[in-house]
Amino acid sequence: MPIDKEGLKARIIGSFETATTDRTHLPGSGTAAEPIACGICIPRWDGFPAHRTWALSGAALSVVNIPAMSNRSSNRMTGRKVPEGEDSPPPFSTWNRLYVAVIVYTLVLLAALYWMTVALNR
Amino acid sequence: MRPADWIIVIAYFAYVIWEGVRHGRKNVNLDDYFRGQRSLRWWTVGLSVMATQASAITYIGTTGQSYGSGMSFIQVYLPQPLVMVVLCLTFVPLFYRANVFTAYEYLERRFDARTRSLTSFLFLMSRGLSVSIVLYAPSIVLGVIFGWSEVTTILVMGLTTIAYTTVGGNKAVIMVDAKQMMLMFAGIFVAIGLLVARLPGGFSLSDAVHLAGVTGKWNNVDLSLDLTNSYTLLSGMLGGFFLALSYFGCDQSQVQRYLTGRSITESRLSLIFNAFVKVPMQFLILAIGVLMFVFYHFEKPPLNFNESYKRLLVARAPAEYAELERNHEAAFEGRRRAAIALEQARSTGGNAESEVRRYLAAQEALRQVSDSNRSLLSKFLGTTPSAEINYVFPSFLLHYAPAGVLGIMIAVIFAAAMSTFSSEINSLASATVIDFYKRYCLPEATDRHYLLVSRGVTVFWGLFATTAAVFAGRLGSLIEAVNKVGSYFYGPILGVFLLAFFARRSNAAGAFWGLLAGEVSVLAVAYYSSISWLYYNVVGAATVVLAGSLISRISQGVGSRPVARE
Repeated sequence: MPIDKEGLKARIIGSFETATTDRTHLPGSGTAAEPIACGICIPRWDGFPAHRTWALSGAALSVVNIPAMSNRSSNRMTGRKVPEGEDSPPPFSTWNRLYVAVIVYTLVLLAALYWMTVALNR
Repeated sequence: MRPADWIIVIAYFAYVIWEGVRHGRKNVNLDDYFRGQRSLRWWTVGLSVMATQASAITYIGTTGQSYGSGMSFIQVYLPQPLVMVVLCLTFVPLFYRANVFTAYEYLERRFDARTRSLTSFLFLMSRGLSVSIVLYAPSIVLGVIFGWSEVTTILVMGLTTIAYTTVGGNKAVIMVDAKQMMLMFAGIFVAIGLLVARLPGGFSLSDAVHLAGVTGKWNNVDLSLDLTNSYTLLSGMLGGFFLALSYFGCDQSQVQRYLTGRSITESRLSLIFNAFVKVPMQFLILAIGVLMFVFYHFEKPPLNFNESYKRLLVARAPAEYAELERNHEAAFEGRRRAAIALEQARSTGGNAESEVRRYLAAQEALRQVSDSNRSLLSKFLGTTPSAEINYVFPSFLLHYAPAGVLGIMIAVIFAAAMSTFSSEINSLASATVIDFYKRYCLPEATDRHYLLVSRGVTVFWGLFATTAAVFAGRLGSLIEAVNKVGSYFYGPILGVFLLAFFARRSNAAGAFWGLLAGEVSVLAVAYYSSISWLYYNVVGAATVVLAGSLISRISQGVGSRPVARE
């Protein structure tokens, strides 16, 4: 049976907009596991749907890359603005590297303060 | 105050009012008023986060604290960079994607309305209490410098801030915060420069650092495991970590800052900016106190930094006070000579050890005079006199800052106080309106109505805090007082959010009763044990997570169901 790719994309995007603000997708709400049942999205560890990874049933189309959410588009359920996704990369290229830099920085600060205590204090 | 000082202070006030009014024109709905349309860049938000945390207490109380007991307070700030990483990984994306106005709004989606309302109520209680102390601190400065009554000062400060916050909303608060924070950075360097320039000829900065070390002021890191001591590495890294995680992750006054970022990346970067800047900044502020301590080796410090205490003793016990002043003069002169001899011996390779002993004896003699003075004060006050450390920095500025510099430093202290005060009354208003008024009283109303109510509630909280500030003077060290009040609530509130984020099987009943159990545990620990207040956060959060998980397991089927995973 031929797959209507455009139709599927439209379905996914429409459902995604609902999912980002629909409380039923929040962790603990009891329905976070349901999206797979309707073949739409995979909840992340935090219960929110992943932004760019989408699993669909059927062999012909397994992954669809959805572009980052449009800026300031209005959500149709609540009227609130839909949050933007990630934009420019952080310093150190990736977030993980940046976090490691912060941890190393903290350790350096601690070492420097300890050195001051030992060297300057009587 | 000289004309140059007045011009600077008046220009500062004119600017903040203009900025508030300028942004106020653009507010048409709650999103504008409380989240600034989620349009701000990371540096603006990051500076606002810093300005909100750094109140006038940071400048007055902290410098006074390091003047008296050294740098040990820095340990409380050490875990903050790590906290920022945790926030960037968890709290920020969750709040941002949930598209909430308040942190507590998330809890209703995760658990139920009852849990949301209780945590929001606890926030209102803790923040509502501490905001008054934040306002009280600068009134001390102006009380000393202008001779105004503290009540008058509180009213001038409070009403001005209420005006621009009410009109401008959160965006105005953040934009003004950013400029105020830059002014505060400048103030730190101005104060350090002033102190270094005031050291006597032949006495270098290196000598000052050494002299401070002799009296143990560079006690940056304390490795002891004493749970009753608030300023050890253990209490800082453990208690301070939980305190900072709760403050930055669950306190609406901070969450509301980074919810205004134009993307998750901007919000995260605002916190990472804090991770890199906060500890060095705090170090420099504490160093001001240490440098003041050295400075007062060569300029005689007042026996009472609080002028009202001096007036009291002069009026009630003139003879005894005159005797104390003579002893103080002699002890100061002895310490001054001992300090100079010590540094000369160090530089010429003389017998430094004997000079150190001589110096420490002179330091002890001065301390004994100070103790006698406090005993005399206690006799006439009928109670222990309030901590004088809060008067040290203002007194220094009054007597030693040149024209223009005094104006800048007064503007810095105003900026520090007003940036925190404005953020806090704005966040109190958002929690009140979003979590209670809009949730329970009038869920569907026009934007115009909500905007009007939000402004009214901002005025209410501002006036409440201003009135309460009048009574805040009875507390001791301001910096500790604020954190102590917060610590009774911070830990349990953090526990609920940890339960929401990480305990997949937790439910509404577990969260609600766990929160109450956490509150009871904190009160019990505070009442029955002598552990440092910093650990209350750990106890509160841990109790909520443990009790909440247990209750959730027992009451499965009540409230929300657990999250099923792939």
